[in-house]
Amino acid sequence: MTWLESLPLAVFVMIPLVIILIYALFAIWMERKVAGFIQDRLGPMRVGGWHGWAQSFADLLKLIQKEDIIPAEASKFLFRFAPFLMFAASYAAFAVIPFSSAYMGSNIDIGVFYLLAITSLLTISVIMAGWASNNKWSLLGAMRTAAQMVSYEVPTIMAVLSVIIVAGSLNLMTVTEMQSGNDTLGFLPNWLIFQNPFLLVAFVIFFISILAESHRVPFDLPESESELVAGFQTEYSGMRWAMFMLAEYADMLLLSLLGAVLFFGGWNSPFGGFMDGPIWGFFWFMFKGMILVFVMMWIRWTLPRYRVDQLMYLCWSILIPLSFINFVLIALWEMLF
Amino acid sequence: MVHSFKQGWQTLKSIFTGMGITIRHFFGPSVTLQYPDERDVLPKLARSKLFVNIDDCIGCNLCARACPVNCIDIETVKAGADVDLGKTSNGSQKRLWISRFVIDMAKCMYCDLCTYPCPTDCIYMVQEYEYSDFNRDNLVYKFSNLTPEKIAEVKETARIEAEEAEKKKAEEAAAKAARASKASDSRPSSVPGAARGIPGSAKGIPGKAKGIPGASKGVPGKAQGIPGAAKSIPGKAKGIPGAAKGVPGKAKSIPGTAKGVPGAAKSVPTAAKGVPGKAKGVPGAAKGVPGKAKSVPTAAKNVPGKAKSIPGTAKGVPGKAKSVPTSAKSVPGKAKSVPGTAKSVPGKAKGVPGKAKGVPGGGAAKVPGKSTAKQVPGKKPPKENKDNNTD
Repeated sequence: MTWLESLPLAVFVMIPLVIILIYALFAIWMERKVAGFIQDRLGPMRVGGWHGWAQSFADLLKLIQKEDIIPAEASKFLFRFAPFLMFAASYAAFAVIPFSSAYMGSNIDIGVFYLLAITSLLTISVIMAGWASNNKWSLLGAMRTAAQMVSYEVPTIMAVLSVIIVAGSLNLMTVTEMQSGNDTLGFLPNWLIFQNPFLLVAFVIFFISILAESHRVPFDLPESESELVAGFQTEYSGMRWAMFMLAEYADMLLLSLLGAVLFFGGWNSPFGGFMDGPIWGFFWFMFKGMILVFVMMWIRWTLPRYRVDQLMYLCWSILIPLSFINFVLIALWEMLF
Repeated sequence: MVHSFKQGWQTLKSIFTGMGITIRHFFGPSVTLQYPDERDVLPKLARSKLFVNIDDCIGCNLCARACPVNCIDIETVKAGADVDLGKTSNGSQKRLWISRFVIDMAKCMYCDLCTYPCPTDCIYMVQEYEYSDFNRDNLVYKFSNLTPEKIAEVKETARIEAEEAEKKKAEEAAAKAARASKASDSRPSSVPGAARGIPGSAKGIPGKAKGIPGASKGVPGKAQGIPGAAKSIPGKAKGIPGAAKGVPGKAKSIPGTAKGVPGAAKSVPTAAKGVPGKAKGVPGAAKGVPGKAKSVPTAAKNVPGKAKSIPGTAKGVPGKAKSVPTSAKSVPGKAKSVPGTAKSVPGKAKGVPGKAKGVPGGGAAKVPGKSTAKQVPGKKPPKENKDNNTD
């Protein structure tokens, strides 16, 4: 297809990893800056000069220097394995994300299905970490996570399925390509969010669900610092802990990018043909994803945490019925128009 | 259903309201001060660090006395009459060498109380607040501008002058004493062993017995007794023992008959009725036996005009004084309360009789603590089976 495909396979599959790593360094810094600005502070200001841009590097350096502690009673293999499994699951899911019209890890027709399936591994790795730590808080955190992720997968999938009805394809590249152009109402881009009024509801459901899926506030119960001392991460330190954080941020990006593909036209430029092309496409795609990430951070520093029963109530009593009704309505709309 | 929708709407509304507030703050100005790079302007009267303009200091010690935490330490040496130390900026004559003026800023609590009494305004707060240190000793600021040699010199001079003055004084005093002793030969003011002033404090007895017998405060009738406070001329009680602020004729003193049951001191108050002209005192003599304090009330009868008081009959055993100060004011119409018999060991009053609160003897009723720890031999708490606990 393009010159990128002519790269050796090892380099080709490493591209999302580079993106994730750079993004993680940036997002950690950004998270702290957003927190600072929202609280009328400045955030990191010292490291590196301009607005503490090197803060993440300093953090990374610190984490590398940390002692690698494995609890004596822990299940050693699982304890070591869990963080890497978690990151691997996040990373694997990036294979079907169309970063640009020129690059997509694996152009398969069951992209969405694969993505949702592979992210389920995150639940397993969290339980693995919690169980292997041999720590009550860790296990409690892991169990909460399992309950939360399994619950919220239902509305997520229903919202994604609603989009798939409209798009008619599980291949995310196809879904993106069909959103190009600026024809809606004469000026709006052909993004799916503007195609169908019920998709707006679907997006709200989707966004709430991905907040819960990626353990972001207000659904950060698995690692609630004040209750569970970081939940399943309690016993982890140093680079293993960093892997969890990396996986978490990667997951955040993954779901945000998925949202961008499904609702906001992926790598399509908002100005139609203007500023279009593979490079611009990559820019627009990451831009849209980062806006969603920013909204996640914004919400984090605004809302308090849900209680565990409220979390379940919101999922099973509100989001799931709503997503099913919405699913039917979208299907009807597609039949009628 | 309608309620649910209303609630949902409220939720969304409040979420968006909250997010509106946070985004406003996101774009709003920050309040952070980048400290080492930028500094806030201190208020004019900020209290940060003390400074002493030693040239203006007259060594009056007022600041050191005002200091609530005693962080100012001043030592002065009198200057000789022929030395002129100069004047302060506001015209006060300096008469003292300031051999030491030390402020321990580690102790200072920045109350600023020391600066106000200063008559020459030489101690004040300066606007410097960055003087933290790794060593506390470095926070002790020395303001004296005299060298150690100079200090030694002025001290020596002062010592010599003081000695001379002392000699002079001693000579004068000796001469005066000689004159006085001639005049008062026939009237000795005190009998050896007589308790003077402070109850039970037998002055002039080796061992200095200090007892507080009959310090009865808050007794019905409000008898405030300072018994034994008798300046006693043998045979004639002159003091005001047990100065009772009670109603004349109805002063009740309750010397504590203290039964020192370990842990629970019970006092059975016995009333002493003071009829005008007939003061009956029941001073409780508390013998502080550890764990068992018994008080034997002894009655003191006071006939008006003929008070029999044995004030401070001190048995002057060196190191062990027994003082039995019974006080009675024998003025008719004013009943007096009664002191207790105090057995006072030098330095440690055993038995404070007459203490209305019924505490037998200060610390006398102490019982060796019963050990409650019981050991059951051969029986240890069963250890948890560890295997059941782990996974």
